[in-house]
Amino acid sequence: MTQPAILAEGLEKRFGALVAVDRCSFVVNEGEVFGFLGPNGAGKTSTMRMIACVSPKTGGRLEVFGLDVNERPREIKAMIGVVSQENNLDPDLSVYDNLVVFARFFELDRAEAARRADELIEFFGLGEKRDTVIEVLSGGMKRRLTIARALINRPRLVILDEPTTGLDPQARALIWERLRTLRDRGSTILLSTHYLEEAERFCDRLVIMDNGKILIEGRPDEIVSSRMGRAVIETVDDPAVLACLAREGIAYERFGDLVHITTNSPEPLIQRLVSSCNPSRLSVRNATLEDVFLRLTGRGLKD
Amino acid sequence: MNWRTVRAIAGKDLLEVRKNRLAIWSILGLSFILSVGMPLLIGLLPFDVGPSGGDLGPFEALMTLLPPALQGLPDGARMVVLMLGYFLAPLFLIIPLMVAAIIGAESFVGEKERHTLEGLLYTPATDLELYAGKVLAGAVPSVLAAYLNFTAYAIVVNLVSAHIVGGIWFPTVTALALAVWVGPAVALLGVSASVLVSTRVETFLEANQLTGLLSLVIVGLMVGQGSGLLLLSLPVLLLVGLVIYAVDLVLIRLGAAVFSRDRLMARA
Repeated sequence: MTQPAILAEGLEKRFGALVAVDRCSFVVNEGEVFGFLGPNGAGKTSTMRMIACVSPKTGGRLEVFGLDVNERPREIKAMIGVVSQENNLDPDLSVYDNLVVFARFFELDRAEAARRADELIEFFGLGEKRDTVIEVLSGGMKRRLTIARALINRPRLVILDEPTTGLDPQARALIWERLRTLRDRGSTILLSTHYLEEAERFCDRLVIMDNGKILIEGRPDEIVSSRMGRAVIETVDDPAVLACLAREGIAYERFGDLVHITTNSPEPLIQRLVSSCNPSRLSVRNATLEDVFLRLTGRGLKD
Repeated sequence: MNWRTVRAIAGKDLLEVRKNRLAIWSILGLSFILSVGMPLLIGLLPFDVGPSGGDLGPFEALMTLLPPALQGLPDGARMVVLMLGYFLAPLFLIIPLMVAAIIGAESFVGEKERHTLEGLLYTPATDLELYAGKVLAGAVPSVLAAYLNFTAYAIVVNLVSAHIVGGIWFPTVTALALAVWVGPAVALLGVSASVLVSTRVETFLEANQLTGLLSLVIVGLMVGQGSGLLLLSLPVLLLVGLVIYAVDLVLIRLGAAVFSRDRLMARA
Protein backbone atom coordinates (compact mmCIF):
# COMPACT_ATOMS: atom_id res chain seq x y z
CA MET A 1 0.00 0.00 0.00
CA THR A 2 1.42 3.38 -0.98
CA GLN A 3 1.99 6.01 1.65
CA PRO A 4 -0.59 8.81 1.65
CA ALA A 5 0.52 12.39 1.06
CA ILE A 6 -1.43 13.49 4.12
CA LEU A 7 -2.82 11.43 6.95
CA ALA A 8 -4.95 13.11 9.61
CA GLU A 9 -6.55 11.25 12.49
CA GLY A 10 -8.52 13.03 15.17
CA LEU A 11 -6.72 16.23 14.24
CA GLU A 12 -7.39 19.08 16.59
CA LYS A 13 -6.44 22.76 16.84
CA ARG A 14 -7.38 24.84 19.84
CA PHE A 15 -6.78 28.52 20.47
CA GLY A 16 -7.50 28.65 24.19
CA ALA A 17 -11.16 27.78 24.62
CA LEU A 18 -11.86 28.06 20.87
CA VAL A 19 -11.77 24.77 18.97
CA ALA A 20 -10.83 25.71 15.39
CA VAL A 21 -10.41 22.13 14.16
CA ASP A 22 -12.36 19.47 15.99
CA ARG A 23 -11.09 15.88 15.72
CA CYS A 24 -10.92 15.76 11.92
CA SER A 25 -9.76 12.66 10.05
CA PHE A 26 -8.97 12.43 6.35
CA VAL A 27 -6.45 10.96 3.94
CA VAL A 28 -5.04 12.64 0.84
CA ASN A 29 -3.36 10.30 -1.62
CA GLU A 30 -0.32 11.28 -3.66
CA GLY A 31 -1.27 12.73 -7.05
CA GLU A 32 -4.77 13.61 -5.86
CA VAL A 33 -6.53 16.98 -5.89
CA PHE A 34 -8.24 17.32 -2.53
CA GLY A 35 -10.56 20.18 -1.62
CA PHE A 36 -11.63 21.82 1.62
CA LEU A 37 -14.98 23.54 1.37
CA GLY A 38 -16.73 25.52 4.02
CA PRO A 39 -17.68 29.01 5.12
CA ASN A 40 -15.28 31.43 6.80
CA GLY A 41 -14.33 30.11 10.23
CA ALA A 42 -15.02 26.51 9.27
CA GLY A 43 -11.46 25.46 10.11
CA LYS A 44 -10.06 25.13 6.57
CA THR A 45 -7.20 27.59 6.96
CA SER A 46 -6.30 26.28 10.42
CA THR A 47 -6.12 22.77 8.99
CA MET A 48 -3.98 23.92 6.07
CA ARG A 49 -1.63 25.83 8.37
CA MET A 50 -1.12 22.72 10.48
CA ILE A 51 -0.32 20.71 7.36
CA ALA A 52 2.07 23.50 6.28
CA CYS A 53 3.80 23.23 9.69
CA VAL A 54 3.34 26.88 10.63
CA SER A 55 0.75 26.26 13.31
CA PRO A 56 1.32 23.28 15.62
CA LYS A 57 -1.51 20.80 16.07
CA THR A 58 -2.86 20.63 19.60
CA GLY A 59 -4.22 17.12 19.31
CA GLY A 60 -4.51 14.04 17.13
CA ARG A 61 -2.19 12.72 14.45
CA LEU A 62 -1.05 14.55 11.34
CA GLU A 63 1.55 13.23 8.93
CA VAL A 64 2.75 14.60 5.62
CA PHE A 65 4.51 12.01 3.46
CA GLY A 66 4.82 9.87 6.57
CA LEU A 67 6.46 12.60 8.67
CA ASP A 68 4.90 14.05 11.81
CA VAL A 69 4.22 17.78 11.40
CA ASN A 70 5.28 18.71 14.91
CA GLU A 71 8.48 16.64 14.80
CA ARG A 72 9.77 17.02 11.23
CA PRO A 73 8.59 20.45 10.01
CA ARG A 74 11.80 21.28 8.18
CA GLU A 75 11.74 18.20 5.95
CA ILE A 76 8.04 18.62 5.29
CA LYS A 77 8.38 22.28 4.35
CA ALA A 78 11.11 21.42 1.88
CA MET A 79 8.58 19.17 0.09
CA ILE A 80 5.59 21.49 0.01
CA GLY A 81 4.60 24.78 -1.57
CA VAL A 82 2.03 27.01 0.10
CA VAL A 83 -0.20 29.70 -1.38
CA SER A 84 -1.95 31.52 1.42
CA GLN A 85 -5.12 33.59 1.11
CA GLU A 86 -3.18 36.85 0.83
CA ASN A 87 -0.57 37.65 -1.79
CA ASN A 88 2.36 37.85 0.61
CA LEU A 89 4.87 38.93 -2.02
CA ASP A 90 7.61 41.45 -1.29
CA PRO A 91 6.17 44.68 -2.71
CA ASP A 92 9.54 46.37 -3.19
CA LEU A 93 11.03 43.54 -5.24
CA SER A 94 10.51 42.68 -8.89
CA VAL A 95 8.69 39.58 -10.15
CA TYR A 96 12.04 37.91 -10.82
CA ASP A 97 13.61 38.92 -7.48
CA ASN A 98 10.59 37.64 -5.56
CA LEU A 99 11.13 34.20 -7.04
CA VAL A 100 14.92 34.11 -6.76
CA VAL A 101 14.97 35.39 -3.18
CA PHE A 102 12.37 32.81 -2.16
CA ALA A 103 14.30 30.05 -3.91
CA ARG A 104 17.33 30.78 -1.74
CA PHE A 105 15.33 29.80 1.35
CA PHE A 106 15.12 26.31 -0.11
CA GLU A 107 18.91 26.15 -0.45
CA LEU A 108 18.91 26.39 -4.22
CA ASP A 109 22.11 27.88 -5.62
CA ARG A 110 21.91 31.13 -7.58
CA ALA A 111 22.07 29.53 -11.03
CA GLU A 112 19.35 26.98 -10.28
CA ALA A 113 17.19 29.63 -8.59
CA ALA A 114 17.50 31.86 -11.66
CA ARG A 115 16.70 28.99 -14.02
CA ARG A 116 13.59 27.96 -12.10
CA ALA A 117 12.46 31.58 -11.73
CA ASP A 118 12.58 32.11 -15.48
CA GLU A 119 10.83 28.78 -16.07
CA LEU A 120 7.96 29.71 -13.72
CA ILE A 121 7.71 33.25 -15.09
CA GLU A 122 7.21 31.67 -18.50
CA PHE A 123 4.75 29.04 -17.22
CA PHE A 124 2.55 31.66 -15.58
CA GLY A 125 2.70 34.10 -18.49
CA LEU A 126 4.55 36.83 -16.59
CA GLY A 127 7.43 37.23 -19.06
CA GLU A 128 6.61 40.84 -19.91
CA LYS A 129 6.53 41.74 -16.22
CA ARG A 130 9.75 39.96 -15.25
CA ASP A 131 11.50 43.09 -13.96
CA THR A 132 8.42 44.96 -12.81
CA VAL A 133 7.95 45.66 -9.10
CA ILE A 134 5.01 43.92 -7.50
CA GLU A 135 3.12 47.06 -6.55
CA VAL A 136 2.09 47.81 -10.13
CA LEU A 137 0.89 44.30 -11.03
CA SER A 138 -2.81 43.50 -11.37
CA GLY A 139 -4.49 41.27 -8.77
CA GLY A 140 -4.48 38.33 -11.18
CA MET A 141 -0.79 38.69 -11.93
CA LYS A 142 0.08 38.92 -8.24
CA ARG A 143 -1.90 35.76 -7.61
CA ARG A 144 -0.15 33.93 -10.45
CA LEU A 145 3.20 35.05 -9.08
CA THR A 146 2.26 33.91 -5.57
CA ILE A 147 1.43 30.48 -6.98
CA ALA A 148 4.63 30.49 -9.05
CA ARG A 149 6.64 31.27 -5.93
CA ALA A 150 5.07 28.33 -4.11
CA LEU A 151 6.33 26.06 -6.89
CA ILE A 152 9.94 27.27 -6.85
CA ASN A 153 11.09 24.25 -4.81
CA ARG A 154 9.20 21.83 -7.10
CA PRO A 155 6.97 20.66 -4.26
CA ARG A 156 5.42 17.21 -4.06
CA LEU A 157 2.43 18.80 -2.34
CA VAL A 158 0.93 22.19 -3.23
CA ILE A 159 -1.39 23.82 -0.71
CA LEU A 160 -3.65 26.54 -2.08
CA ASP A 161 -5.83 28.52 0.31
CA GLU A 162 -8.53 30.30 -1.72
CA PRO A 163 -6.33 30.62 -4.82
CA THR A 164 -8.84 32.55 -6.93
CA THR A 165 -10.84 34.58 -4.41
CA GLY A 166 -11.31 38.20 -5.43
CA LEU A 167 -10.21 37.69 -9.04
CA ASP A 168 -12.21 38.38 -12.16
CA PRO A 169 -13.48 35.36 -14.17
CA GLN A 170 -10.73 35.67 -16.78
CA ALA A 171 -7.94 35.69 -14.18
CA ARG A 172 -9.60 32.78 -12.38
CA ALA A 173 -9.83 30.77 -15.57
CA LEU A 174 -6.15 31.32 -16.27
CA ILE A 175 -5.15 30.15 -12.80
CA TRP A 176 -7.34 27.04 -12.97
CA GLU A 177 -5.84 26.24 -16.35
CA ARG A 178 -2.33 26.34 -14.89
CA LEU A 179 -3.41 24.33 -11.87
CA ARG A 180 -4.89 21.74 -14.19
CA THR A 181 -1.50 21.43 -15.89
CA LEU A 182 0.09 20.89 -12.49
CA ARG A 183 -2.51 18.25 -11.68
CA ASP A 184 -1.83 16.50 -15.00
CA ARG A 185 1.88 16.45 -14.15
CA GLY A 186 1.00 14.45 -11.04
CA SER A 187 1.33 17.05 -8.31
CA THR A 188 -0.68 16.47 -5.15
CA ILE A 189 -2.88 19.52 -4.65
CA LEU A 190 -4.74 20.54 -1.53
CA LEU A 191 -7.02 23.52 -1.91
CA SER A 192 -9.78 25.48 -0.31
CA THR A 193 -12.19 27.58 -2.32
CA HIS A 194 -15.51 29.35 -2.19
CA TYR A 195 -16.17 28.61 -5.85
CA LEU A 196 -18.10 25.38 -5.59
CA GLU A 197 -18.55 24.82 -9.28
CA GLU A 198 -14.77 25.06 -9.70
CA ALA A 199 -14.20 22.70 -6.78
CA GLU A 200 -16.64 20.23 -8.30
CA ARG A 201 -14.80 20.28 -11.61
CA PHE A 202 -11.27 20.31 -10.25
CA CYS A 203 -11.20 18.16 -7.11
CA ASP A 204 -10.90 14.38 -7.14
CA ARG A 205 -12.22 14.32 -3.58
CA LEU A 206 -13.22 16.91 -1.04
CA VAL A 207 -14.49 17.49 2.45
CA ILE A 208 -17.10 20.00 3.55
CA MET A 209 -16.27 21.59 6.89
CA ASP A 210 -18.27 23.66 9.30
CA ASN A 211 -17.48 24.78 12.85
CA GLY A 212 -14.19 22.90 12.80
CA LYS A 213 -15.77 19.56 11.88
CA ILE A 214 -15.82 17.56 8.67
CA LEU A 215 -19.46 17.14 7.69
CA ILE A 216 -18.92 14.93 4.66
CA GLU A 217 -16.10 13.51 2.56
CA GLY A 218 -16.03 11.96 -0.89
CA ARG A 219 -15.96 12.52 -4.63
CA PRO A 220 -17.91 15.67 -5.58
CA ASP A 221 -20.39 13.84 -7.85
CA GLU A 222 -20.89 11.08 -5.30
CA ILE A 223 -21.47 13.56 -2.49
CA VAL A 224 -24.09 15.39 -4.54
CA SER A 225 -25.87 12.29 -5.84
CA SER A 226 -25.87 10.49 -2.50
CA ARG A 227 -27.08 13.48 -0.52
CA MET A 228 -29.24 15.33 -3.01
CA GLY A 229 -30.16 13.24 -6.00
CA ARG A 230 -29.70 14.45 -9.57
CA ALA A 231 -31.81 17.59 -9.61
CA VAL A 232 -33.33 20.32 -7.48
CA ILE A 233 -36.73 21.72 -8.26
CA GLU A 234 -37.20 25.20 -6.87
CA THR A 235 -40.54 26.82 -6.26
CA VAL A 236 -41.92 29.68 -4.21
CA ASP A 237 -42.48 29.45 -0.46
CA ASP A 238 -46.24 29.89 -0.66
CA PRO A 239 -48.70 28.49 1.96
CA ALA A 240 -50.92 27.02 -0.75
CA VAL A 241 -47.97 25.32 -2.44
CA LEU A 242 -46.70 23.97 0.89
CA ALA A 243 -50.12 22.60 1.71
CA CYS A 244 -50.27 20.95 -1.70
CA LEU A 245 -46.82 19.39 -1.28
CA ALA A 246 -47.85 18.00 2.09
CA ARG A 247 -51.08 16.66 0.60
CA GLU A 248 -49.17 14.99 -2.25
CA GLY A 249 -46.59 13.52 0.14
CA ILE A 250 -43.67 15.27 -1.59
CA ALA A 251 -40.68 15.95 0.71
CA TYR A 252 -39.34 19.50 0.59
CA GLU A 253 -37.00 21.89 2.37
CA ARG A 254 -37.49 25.62 2.91
CA PHE A 255 -34.58 28.02 2.34
CA GLY A 256 -35.48 31.70 2.61
CA ASP A 257 -38.31 32.44 0.17
CA LEU A 258 -37.70 29.25 -1.80
CA VAL A 259 -38.76 25.66 -1.45
CA HIS A 260 -36.36 22.93 -2.63
CA ILE A 261 -37.47 19.51 -3.78
CA THR A 262 -34.67 17.08 -4.62
CA THR A 263 -35.13 14.19 -6.98
CA ASN A 264 -33.44 11.80 -9.38
CA SER A 265 -36.36 12.01 -11.81
CA PRO A 266 -37.33 15.65 -12.21
CA GLU A 267 -39.58 15.41 -15.33
CA PRO A 268 -42.54 13.38 -13.88
CA LEU A 269 -42.36 15.32 -10.61
CA ILE A 270 -42.56 18.66 -12.44
CA GLN A 271 -45.66 17.44 -14.34
CA ARG A 272 -47.23 16.34 -11.07
CA LEU A 273 -46.44 19.65 -9.37
CA VAL A 274 -47.83 21.70 -12.23
CA SER A 275 -51.03 19.72 -12.39
CA SER A 276 -51.61 19.42 -8.63
CA CYS A 277 -50.11 22.51 -7.00
CA ASN A 278 -50.02 25.02 -9.85
CA PRO A 279 -47.16 27.11 -8.36
CA SER A 280 -46.60 30.65 -9.65
CA ARG A 281 -42.96 29.85 -10.37
CA LEU A 282 -41.10 26.61 -10.92
CA SER A 283 -37.56 25.87 -12.06
CA VAL A 284 -35.29 22.89 -12.23
CA ARG A 285 -31.51 22.68 -12.10
CA ASN A 286 -28.77 20.17 -11.40
CA ALA A 287 -28.05 19.57 -7.73
CA THR A 288 -24.76 21.07 -6.53
CA LEU A 289 -22.42 21.03 -3.58
CA GLU A 290 -24.04 24.25 -2.44
CA ASP A 291 -27.29 22.32 -2.04
CA VAL A 292 -25.47 19.67 -0.04
CA PHE A 293 -24.05 22.34 2.21
CA LEU A 294 -27.44 23.98 2.60
CA ARG A 295 -28.94 20.68 3.60
CA LEU A 296 -26.13 19.86 6.02
CA THR A 297 -25.91 23.20 7.76
CA GLY A 298 -29.06 25.10 6.91
CA ARG A 299 -27.10 27.96 5.39
CA GLY A 300 -25.05 28.84 2.30
CA LEU A 301 -21.27 28.50 1.96
CA LYS A 302 -20.81 32.24 1.60
CA ASP A 303 -23.03 33.20 4.57
CA MET B 1 21.63 25.98 12.40
CA ASN B 2 21.92 26.20 8.61
CA TRP B 3 24.00 29.30 7.82
CA ARG B 4 23.04 29.21 4.15
CA THR B 5 19.43 29.79 5.16
CA VAL B 6 20.48 32.49 7.65
CA ARG B 7 22.42 34.27 4.90
CA ALA B 8 19.45 33.94 2.52
CA ILE B 9 17.14 35.59 5.07
CA ALA B 10 19.66 38.35 5.75
CA GLY B 11 20.24 38.78 2.01
CA LYS B 12 16.53 39.30 1.40
CA ASP B 13 16.34 41.99 4.09
CA LEU B 14 19.44 43.73 2.79
CA LEU B 15 18.00 43.72 -0.72
CA GLU B 16 14.88 45.39 0.63
CA VAL B 17 16.94 47.96 2.54
CA ARG B 18 18.80 48.81 -0.67
CA LYS B 19 15.46 49.43 -2.37
CA ASN B 20 14.24 51.67 0.47
CA ARG B 21 15.40 55.07 -0.77
CA LEU B 22 13.94 57.00 2.14
CA ALA B 23 15.93 54.95 4.65
CA ILE B 24 19.10 55.16 2.54
CA TRP B 25 18.87 58.95 2.19
CA SER B 26 18.08 59.42 5.89
CA ILE B 27 21.14 57.39 6.84
CA LEU B 28 23.36 59.16 4.30
CA GLY B 29 22.09 62.57 5.38
CA LEU B 30 22.68 61.97 9.06
CA SER B 31 26.06 60.37 8.29
CA PHE B 32 27.10 63.47 6.36
CA ILE B 33 26.00 65.83 9.12
CA LEU B 34 27.67 63.92 11.95
CA SER B 35 30.78 62.57 10.27
CA VAL B 36 31.56 65.41 7.86
CA GLY B 37 29.53 68.52 8.67
CA MET B 38 30.15 68.66 12.43
CA PRO B 39 33.95 68.20 12.36
CA LEU B 40 34.15 70.57 9.43
CA LEU B 41 32.24 73.21 11.38
CA ILE B 42 34.38 72.80 14.51
CA GLY B 43 37.58 72.80 12.46
CA LEU B 44 36.64 75.99 10.73
CA LEU B 45 35.84 77.85 13.95
CA PRO B 46 38.40 80.64 14.59
CA PHE B 47 40.18 79.11 17.60
CA ASP B 48 42.98 81.18 19.03
CA VAL B 49 46.11 79.11 18.35
CA GLY B 50 48.44 81.40 20.21
CA PRO B 51 50.75 80.18 23.03
CA SER B 52 49.37 78.35 26.08
CA GLY B 53 48.50 80.03 29.31
CA GLY B 54 45.08 81.54 28.61
CA ASP B 55 42.00 80.94 30.75
CA LEU B 56 40.17 77.84 29.41
CA GLY B 57 37.53 77.92 32.12
CA PRO B 58 35.76 74.60 32.71
CA PHE B 59 37.89 72.87 30.04
CA GLU B 60 41.12 73.50 31.96
CA ALA B 61 40.82 70.35 34.04
CA LEU B 62 40.01 68.23 30.99
CA MET B 63 43.02 69.56 29.11
CA THR B 64 45.32 68.09 31.71
CA LEU B 65 43.93 64.63 30.83
CA LEU B 66 45.10 64.78 27.20
CA PRO B 67 47.97 62.47 26.17
CA PRO B 68 51.46 63.90 26.89
CA ALA B 69 52.16 64.25 23.15
CA LEU B 70 49.27 66.69 22.84
CA GLN B 71 49.86 68.55 26.10
CA GLY B 72 52.45 70.84 24.62
CA LEU B 73 50.12 72.26 21.97
CA PRO B 74 48.86 75.82 22.11
CA ASP B 75 45.54 76.27 23.94
CA GLY B 76 43.56 76.76 20.72
CA ALA B 77 44.97 73.59 19.20
CA ARG B 78 44.28 71.67 22.39
CA MET B 79 40.72 72.97 22.31
CA VAL B 80 40.31 71.65 18.76
CA VAL B 81 41.75 68.30 19.83
CA LEU B 82 39.41 68.15 22.81
CA MET B 83 36.36 68.99 20.73
CA LEU B 84 37.09 66.81 17.71
CA GLY B 85 38.97 63.98 19.32
CA TYR B 86 36.90 63.49 22.44
CA PHE B 87 33.61 65.38 22.68
CA LEU B 88 32.31 64.76 19.19
CA ALA B 89 33.83 61.36 18.49
CA PRO B 90 31.05 59.34 20.21
CA LEU B 91 28.51 61.04 17.97
CA PHE B 92 29.43 58.80 15.05
CA LEU B 93 28.01 55.88 17.07
CA ILE B 94 24.55 57.30 16.43
CA ILE B 95 24.86 56.14 12.81
CA PRO B 96 25.24 52.38 13.45
CA LEU B 97 22.58 52.65 16.12
CA MET B 98 20.22 54.34 13.69
CA VAL B 99 20.91 51.83 10.90
CA ALA B 100 20.43 48.96 13.32
CA ALA B 101 17.23 50.44 14.69
CA ILE B 102 15.72 51.04 11.24
CA ILE B 103 16.49 47.56 9.94
CA GLY B 104 15.90 45.74 13.21
CA ALA B 105 12.62 47.44 14.06
CA GLU B 106 11.37 46.64 10.57
CA SER B 107 12.47 43.01 10.72
CA PHE B 108 9.39 41.16 11.95
CA VAL B 109 6.72 43.76 12.55
CA GLY B 110 7.52 45.40 9.21
CA GLU B 111 7.08 42.09 7.42
CA LYS B 112 3.86 41.60 9.29
CA GLU B 113 2.59 45.02 8.23
CA ARG B 114 3.52 44.33 4.61
CA HIS B 115 1.90 40.88 4.88
CA THR B 116 5.12 39.19 3.81
CA LEU B 117 5.84 37.37 7.05
CA GLU B 118 3.55 34.43 6.36
CA GLY B 119 5.42 33.55 3.17
CA LEU B 120 8.68 33.49 5.09
CA LEU B 121 7.21 31.22 7.75
CA TYR B 122 6.26 28.66 5.10
CA THR B 123 9.91 28.12 4.18
CA PRO B 124 12.03 25.41 5.84
CA ALA B 125 13.87 28.03 7.93
CA THR B 126 13.71 27.25 11.64
CA ASP B 127 12.77 29.88 14.24
CA LEU B 128 16.42 30.22 15.22
CA GLU B 129 17.52 30.68 11.59
CA LEU B 130 14.83 33.27 11.01
CA TYR B 131 15.88 35.19 14.08
CA ALA B 132 19.59 34.91 13.31
CA GLY B 133 18.95 36.05 9.72
CA LYS B 134 17.17 39.15 10.94
CA VAL B 135 19.93 39.95 13.43
CA LEU B 136 22.58 39.45 10.75
CA ALA B 137 20.67 41.67 8.32
CA GLY B 138 20.80 44.50 10.84
CA ALA B 139 24.32 43.84 12.13
CA VAL B 140 26.21 43.81 8.83
CA PRO B 141 25.17 47.24 7.52
CA SER B 142 25.27 48.88 10.94
CA VAL B 143 28.81 47.70 11.72
CA LEU B 144 29.83 48.67 8.19
CA ALA B 145 28.22 52.07 8.71
CA ALA B 146 30.12 52.46 11.98
CA TYR B 147 33.48 51.84 10.27
CA LEU B 148 32.73 53.94 7.20
CA ASN B 149 31.55 56.87 9.27
CA PHE B 150 34.51 56.66 11.56
CA THR B 151 36.85 56.63 8.56
CA ALA B 152 35.08 59.64 7.07
CA TYR B 153 35.19 61.41 10.43
CA ALA B 154 38.91 60.68 10.82
CA ILE B 155 39.70 62.03 7.35
CA VAL B 156 37.73 65.25 7.89
CA VAL B 157 39.16 65.79 11.38
CA ASN B 158 42.71 65.54 10.07
CA LEU B 159 41.92 67.67 7.03
CA VAL B 160 40.60 70.54 9.14
CA SER B 161 42.99 70.31 12.09
CA ALA B 162 46.33 68.89 10.94
CA HIS B 163 47.67 72.38 10.24
CA ILE B 164 46.66 73.52 13.73
CA VAL B 165 47.82 70.44 15.64
CA GLY B 166 50.94 70.05 13.54
CA GLY B 167 50.23 66.85 11.63
CA ILE B 168 47.89 63.87 11.39
CA TRP B 169 46.84 63.11 14.94
CA PHE B 170 43.45 61.37 14.72
CA PRO B 171 42.41 58.68 15.60
CA THR B 172 43.74 58.67 19.11
CA VAL B 173 43.99 55.32 20.88
CA THR B 174 40.72 55.89 22.73
CA ALA B 175 38.93 56.98 19.56
CA LEU B 176 40.19 53.86 17.81
CA ALA B 177 38.96 51.74 20.70
CA LEU B 178 35.63 53.53 20.47
CA ALA B 179 35.39 52.71 16.77
CA VAL B 180 36.74 49.19 16.67
CA TRP B 181 35.51 47.89 20.02
CA VAL B 182 32.54 49.96 21.20
CA GLY B 183 31.15 50.75 17.72
CA PRO B 184 30.22 47.17 16.78
CA ALA B 185 28.96 46.57 20.33
CA VAL B 186 26.60 49.54 20.02
CA ALA B 187 25.54 48.40 16.54
CA LEU B 188 24.75 44.93 17.88
CA LEU B 189 22.90 46.47 20.81
CA GLY B 190 20.73 48.37 18.35
CA VAL B 191 20.06 45.26 16.30
CA SER B 192 19.46 42.83 19.15
CA ALA B 193 17.14 45.21 20.98
CA SER B 194 15.21 46.34 17.90
CA VAL B 195 14.72 42.80 16.51
CA LEU B 196 13.50 41.66 19.91
CA VAL B 197 11.12 44.62 20.10
CA SER B 198 9.98 43.90 16.55
CA THR B 199 8.79 40.42 17.51
CA ARG B 200 6.71 41.75 20.39
CA VAL B 201 4.93 44.85 19.10
CA GLU B 202 2.06 45.37 16.68
CA THR B 203 3.31 48.21 14.47
CA PHE B 204 6.57 49.45 12.98
CA LEU B 205 5.94 52.87 14.53
CA GLU B 206 5.74 51.31 17.98
CA ALA B 207 8.97 49.40 17.36
CA ASN B 208 10.73 52.52 16.10
CA GLN B 209 9.68 54.59 19.09
CA LEU B 210 10.88 51.96 21.53
CA THR B 211 14.22 51.46 19.80
CA GLY B 212 14.68 55.25 19.75
CA LEU B 213 15.33 54.96 23.49
CA LEU B 214 18.65 53.33 22.59
CA SER B 215 20.07 56.74 21.73
CA LEU B 216 20.31 57.22 25.51
CA VAL B 217 23.39 54.97 25.32
CA ILE B 218 25.09 57.54 23.09
CA VAL B 219 23.97 60.36 25.32
CA GLY B 220 25.52 58.46 28.22
CA LEU B 221 28.81 58.10 26.37
CA MET B 222 28.85 61.80 25.50
CA VAL B 223 28.10 62.76 29.10
CA GLY B 224 30.90 60.41 30.09
CA GLN B 225 33.25 62.23 27.76
CA GLY B 226 32.12 65.64 28.91
CA SER B 227 32.51 64.76 32.55
CA GLY B 228 35.94 63.30 31.93
CA LEU B 229 34.94 59.82 33.02
CA LEU B 230 35.82 58.17 29.72
CA LEU B 231 38.32 60.73 28.53
CA LEU B 232 41.66 59.13 27.71
CA SER B 233 40.57 56.10 29.64
CA LEU B 234 41.17 53.07 27.49
CA PRO B 235 40.36 50.57 30.27
CA VAL B 236 37.00 52.24 30.89
CA LEU B 237 36.21 52.15 27.18
CA LEU B 238 37.13 48.48 26.98
CA LEU B 239 34.94 47.80 29.99
CA VAL B 240 32.03 49.74 28.49
CA GLY B 241 32.39 47.72 25.28
CA LEU B 242 32.50 44.48 27.24
CA VAL B 243 29.35 45.37 29.16
CA ILE B 244 27.52 46.29 25.95
CA TYR B 245 28.62 43.02 24.27
CA ALA B 246 27.32 41.11 27.30
CA VAL B 247 23.98 42.92 27.04
CA ASP B 248 23.94 42.13 23.28
CA LEU B 249 24.44 38.45 23.98
CA VAL B 250 21.69 38.39 26.59
CA LEU B 251 19.28 40.20 24.26
CA ILE B 252 20.03 37.92 21.30
CA ARG B 253 19.62 34.78 23.38
CA LEU B 254 16.48 36.12 25.00
CA GLY B 255 15.04 37.14 21.63
CA ALA B 256 15.76 33.76 20.05
CA ALA B 257 14.33 31.97 23.09
CA VAL B 258 11.04 33.85 23.18
CA PHE B 259 10.60 34.03 19.39
CA SER B 260 7.63 31.94 18.34
CA ARG B 261 6.29 31.78 14.81
CA ASP B 262 3.03 30.37 16.14
CA ARG B 263 2.55 33.53 18.21
CA LEU B 264 3.41 35.69 15.22
CA MET B 265 1.06 33.73 12.98
CA ALA B 266 -1.74 34.04 15.49
CA ARG B 267 -1.31 37.83 15.40
CA ALA B 268 -0.70 38.02 11.63
